[in-house]
Amino acid sequence: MTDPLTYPDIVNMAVPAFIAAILIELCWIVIKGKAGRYETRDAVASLIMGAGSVASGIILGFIAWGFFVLLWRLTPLDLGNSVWIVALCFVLDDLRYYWVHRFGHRIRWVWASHVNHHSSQHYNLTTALRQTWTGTFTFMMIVRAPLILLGFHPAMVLFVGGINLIYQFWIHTEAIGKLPNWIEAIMNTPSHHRVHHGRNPRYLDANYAGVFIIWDRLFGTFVPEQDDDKVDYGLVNNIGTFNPLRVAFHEWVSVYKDMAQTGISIGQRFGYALNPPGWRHDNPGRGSEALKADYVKRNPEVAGSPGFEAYKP
Amino acid sequence: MPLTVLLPMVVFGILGIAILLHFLGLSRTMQFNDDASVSKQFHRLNPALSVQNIVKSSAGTAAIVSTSTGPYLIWAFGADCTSHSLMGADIIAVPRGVRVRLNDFASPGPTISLTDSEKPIWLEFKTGDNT
Repeated sequence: MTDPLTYPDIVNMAVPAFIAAILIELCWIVIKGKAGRYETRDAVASLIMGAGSVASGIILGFIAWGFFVLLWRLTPLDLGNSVWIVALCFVLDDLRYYWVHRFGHRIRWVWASHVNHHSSQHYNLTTALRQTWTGTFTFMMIVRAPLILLGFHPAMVLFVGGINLIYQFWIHTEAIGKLPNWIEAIMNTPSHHRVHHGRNPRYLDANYAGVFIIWDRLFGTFVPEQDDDKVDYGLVNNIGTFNPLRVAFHEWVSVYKDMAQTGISIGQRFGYALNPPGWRHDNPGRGSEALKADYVKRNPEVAGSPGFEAYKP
Repeated sequence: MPLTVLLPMVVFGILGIAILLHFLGLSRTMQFNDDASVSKQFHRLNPALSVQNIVKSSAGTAAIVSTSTGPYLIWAFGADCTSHSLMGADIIAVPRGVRVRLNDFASPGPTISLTDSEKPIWLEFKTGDNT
């Protein structure tokens, strides 16, 4: 059965705009001498990751698409394709993105795919393109299932997901400071997303939003950027390679090594895949909570401040 | 967008940006000026560890930092730096210095330029248990 509803592949169409925006940001940084940093190998690695991610989508995209078409055939609901339905789909898909992104930081199997996006110590528009090659293997397409079962056409769901991805491109910059309060209150902004890319204990596991920051405010994961805690970009344990293959697969290798080690139970093996990053069978308390608690112990004056609300000295 | 358009655009886009960045002087590697800069960067990367001793390469691109949990390597990584425990690492002499193999897929390890007089000091850390 063929279905006539199609939407343009807007992510691919946006590639020239991505390149132009990178050149503009680079010129701005070079002329101003501040508002961001670029480094050749880091930027090239990010750009190759972006190209690889598009290639991965072309090669493996049929798996998710096949799953969505199957669901579409199962559901008796069809909400049509009016502008309002597309808008509603966009908002609900952004909620879907929030949870997939949160899972991406709290379930190591999903983190193994997402980690590469956080593996640069820089934060510029090329970092936005440092995207996963292995998203299909996280099976997070399941989180889109409710949308399709509710009657949103699969092509529409992928289209609004593309808009979401394009929106997130421009917020990967230090060249834009804080925006007017009403925008910062509703939308994900460069300031909010800088926090998300921080390895500072205060900023760990915060600001998962795609387009609307309201989801973080609603679900208790919002942390505002602090003037007295400059964002340090990258991973808690930064990687030491610009090789895109290592960037793409390093956490998968690490998960495999942890799961395959001798002398642990089946449950512990799965624990390495399903628990948050940092979990170990012989030290389950590791991870971002322990890092935050340790930081507060060493800096008791920050207890109760944004990002440390639940921590006491 | 057809692949015949997308592919050349991506390839030439990446190449063009890489060349531009290089000629803008943005390929320079960071350098540690002194032990204090090593200590500052190490603390940034490993805030819970306290530095006991630092052996910095005279070229300023790397240092071995002794801590209570063992020795760490910190090295220039593009415009930034990164660090890694030397536990389980191999340090091999090469003509211009040493090659450090960290046995970690995420950080295979750098080659570090050292003078002939520095090399034996660094090779002493090859077992990773020299604190």
